[in-house]
Amino acid sequence: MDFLYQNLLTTILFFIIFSSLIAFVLAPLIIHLLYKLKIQRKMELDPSLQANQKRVKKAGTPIMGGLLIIITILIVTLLFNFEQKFTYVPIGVMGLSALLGGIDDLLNVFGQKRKIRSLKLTLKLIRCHRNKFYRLWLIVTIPWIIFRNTFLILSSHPTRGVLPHEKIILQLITGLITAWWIVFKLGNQWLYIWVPFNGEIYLGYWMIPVVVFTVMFFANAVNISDGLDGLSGGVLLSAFGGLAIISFLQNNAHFAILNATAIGALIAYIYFNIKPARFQMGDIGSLSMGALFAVTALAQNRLLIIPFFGFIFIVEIFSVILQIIWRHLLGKRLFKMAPLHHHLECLGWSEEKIVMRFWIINLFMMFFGLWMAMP
Amino acid sequence: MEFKSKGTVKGDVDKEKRRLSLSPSAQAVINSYLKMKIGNKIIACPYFINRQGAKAALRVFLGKASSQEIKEEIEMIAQQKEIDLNQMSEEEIYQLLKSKRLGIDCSGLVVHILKAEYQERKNINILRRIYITAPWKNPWRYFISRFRPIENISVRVLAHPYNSRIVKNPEKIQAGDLIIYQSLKHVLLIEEIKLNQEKTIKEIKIIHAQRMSPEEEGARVKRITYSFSELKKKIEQGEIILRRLKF
Repeated sequence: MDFLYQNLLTTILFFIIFSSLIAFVLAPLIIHLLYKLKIQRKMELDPSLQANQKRVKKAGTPIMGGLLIIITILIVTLLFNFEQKFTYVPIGVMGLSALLGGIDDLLNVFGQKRKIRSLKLTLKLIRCHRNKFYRLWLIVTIPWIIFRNTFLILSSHPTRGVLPHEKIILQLITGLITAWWIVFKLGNQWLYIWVPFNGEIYLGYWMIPVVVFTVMFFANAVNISDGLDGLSGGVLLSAFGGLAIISFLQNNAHFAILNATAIGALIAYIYFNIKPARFQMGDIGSLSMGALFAVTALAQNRLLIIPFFGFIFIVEIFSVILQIIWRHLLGKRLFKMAPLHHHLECLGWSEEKIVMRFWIINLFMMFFGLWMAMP
Repeated sequence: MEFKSKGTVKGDVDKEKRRLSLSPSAQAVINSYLKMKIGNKIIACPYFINRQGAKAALRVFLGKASSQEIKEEIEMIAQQKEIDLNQMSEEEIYQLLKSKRLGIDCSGLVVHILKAEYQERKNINILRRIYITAPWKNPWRYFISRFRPIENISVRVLAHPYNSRIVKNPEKIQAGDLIIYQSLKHVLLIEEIKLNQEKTIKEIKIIHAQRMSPEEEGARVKRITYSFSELKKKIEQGEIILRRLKF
C-alpha cells in the first residue's frame, strides 16, 4: 500500500470514496438486520416520543444505525490502516464506546426498567433494618449511593439502559485508556498542547485529566446532539473534514486515512439518516464517534480546535448544562426545552431548518478553526 | 406601618378620599392571575398546592410560578401534545391546567403580588428581605432559599415575627395587609379598602388563591369582598389574624 501514501491528498480522497462505497453496500444489510431484530424506537419505551406528539412518527425507526459507521471504519482501518502507534487506540476507544453505547441501546429496547434505591430510603433502612451487618454495609456504601443518585437527578429521563453513573464510569475508563496511550506511549512531544497563534504549552501529566475530560465531554456532547434526523451526522462530517485537512497539512498519513474513512462512512450514513430517517445513530454511534473525534483531535495535537470543529456539539451540551443549572438552582426554564435543537423546535422551527442551519454554522466554524490552525 | 411612597403613586393613601388600594403594578399581577389568556379564552389561574412535597422541580409545577410562566408551560405542553387550546372551553382549559399540576397556591400568589407592590412603592425586593431560615439552623435550606426564595415562602414564613407584625386594630388595615388563618394554612391579601361617608371602612376587597370550592367553580384565584363587620367577627372568633409586612 506504499504507493497510496506517496500522494496524501489522493489517498484521502480514495479512502473517502472507498469507505463510502463500503458503507453504501452495508447499509441495506444493516437496516434489514435492525428491522429483523426489532431494534426500533418504541412508543411505550421512549419518553421523548411520549413527550412530544410530533415525534410519534419516529416510533418504529431502527436505532443503532451507528453500526454502519463503526463497521465501515473497522473494516477499512483493520485492512489498511492498523498501525500500533497511531490507530490502535483511537479504534480501541471507538470500539469501547461503541460497546457501551450498544449495550445501552439494546437495554433500552429489550431490557427491564431498573430502579435505584434513593438516598432517603437508604437512610431509612440504616435506621430500621434488622440485620446490623446490612446496616453497616449501607453506611459504608453511602458515598456510592450519593454518587449514583446525583447522576440520576442530573439526567433528563430515567431509562432502562445503562444508568447515568454507569455510563460516566465506563467513559472515565475509556478516557483513562486514551490518556495512558497519549501520555505514555506516544512520546514526550504529546505532553505539549498546541495553542493557536502562540506555539505550544507544556502540560506534562496534566495532560491526563485534560484527555479524560475531553473524551468524556465530547462523547456525551455528540450523544446529546443526536436528536434530529441528520443533525449529528452532518456536524460530524464537517468536524472530521476539518481533522482530515489538518492531518493532510501535518502530512500525517495514518490519521488522514482514519479521518477520511470516517468521512466516507458518514456520507453513506447521512444519506439514510436525513429526514425521514431510515435509521438513527443510537448511542452506539454517537458515543463512539464523539470519542473517536476527541481522540483523533488530541492525537493530532489540536485540542483547542475541537470547540470550533465540533461547535454545534459544544453549544448543545452547554444548553443542557445551563438548563439543568437553571432548573435545579432557580426553578425556572432557561430554554423551552434542552438541548437547543428542541428549544428551536418549540419556537416553531422545522426539523429540516434546524438541521441545515446547524450544518452551515458548524461548517463555518470549522473553516474558522482551520484558519486558526494554519501555521 | 405607613407606606412611605416616593413621589406620587396612584393607589396610595389619598388622605382626602381615604381609599386605599394596591399599586398599579400589583394590580397588574392580580389581573394576570385572575384573567389568564390561554388560547382565546380567559380563565382565572387554578389553585395548586405541592402536597406531595416535590422538591427541586420547576417552580411552575410547585404552585409558585408567575402567571406568564404558567401560560408558557401550558402552551408548550399543548404544542407537544398537539392540543388546540383555541378549541377548548374555559372549563376544559382549567381542567387541563389542573391535570398538569399547573396553578398557584395561596402564599405564592401573595408573594408575587407583594413583590410587585414593594418594588413599585419602596423599590424593595422583598424576596431578598424575607427571613426564611437562619444559616446555622438549616444551612442547606438557607442556601437553597437564596436562589429559590418564592418556593420557600409559606404562610408560616409570612406570619413569622421577623417578617410581619400583627395589626391589632382592624380600623387601621391597609391594602397590602395579610389575612392569615390561625391554623397558618391559608393567607389572603387585602387588595382594596372602601370607605363610607363617615370615612370608616365599609368593605374590603380581598384576593386569594382559593383552596376549596364552595360553588362548582373549582379552586382558583378569586377576588372576594368582605364587609368590615364580617372581618371583625372573624378576628374576634379567632379564626383569622391581620398582619402587615415589616419592610
